[in-house]
Amino acid sequence: MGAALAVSVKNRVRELRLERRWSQIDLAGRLRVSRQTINAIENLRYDPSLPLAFEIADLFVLRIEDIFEHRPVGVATCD
Amino acid sequence: MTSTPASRWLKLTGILVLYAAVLAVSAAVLVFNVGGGRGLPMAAKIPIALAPMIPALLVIPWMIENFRLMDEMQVRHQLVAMVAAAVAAAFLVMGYSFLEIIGLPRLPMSVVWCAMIGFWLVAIWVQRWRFR
Repeated sequence: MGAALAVSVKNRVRELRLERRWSQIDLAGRLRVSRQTINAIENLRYDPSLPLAFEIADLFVLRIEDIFEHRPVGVATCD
Repeated sequence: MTSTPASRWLKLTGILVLYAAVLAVSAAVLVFNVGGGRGLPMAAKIPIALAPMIPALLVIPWMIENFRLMDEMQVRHQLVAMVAAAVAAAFLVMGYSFLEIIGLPRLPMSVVWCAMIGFWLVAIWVQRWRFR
């Protein structure tokens, strides 16, 4: 029997991008990803990998935990 | 040197033109009997029939290059689409094999590949629409 923690990851990418007056295309270009990926991250539909999260943090000159916040939303168990 | 989208499409066009040229020669010899191709021994016909596969193989590095240039979410979408296409094609084959029992004609195996590409295109379109 095992238990898995369901985690909801929230982020401030949109807020930080808008502070800098960058479009999604600008940010995508700086991170070398597609605009769709930026859109999905901002809308919490896609959680970036750890390397991409570090790149985002480096770009905004912040720590990862200043941008991404994990919130446990429940525990799923399996037999 | 980083390739541009335009250069990559140009490269694919070159591969397809080369493939079409070799295919035309192969078909001319084996199908339209140019140079008495139909009368050749089987040992000669086989390499001529397979000759179009040589330029077709150049598509593999082209596809790998394009795959590597995708970002992580695009790669995930591709993998999801490929799995969906493989599963859909498996069910199609399984379902049609039951229909063959009741007399429907046997289909060439190339149909499976074509169906898989069709399912992959639909799956990719759905993924892109969901994450547009």
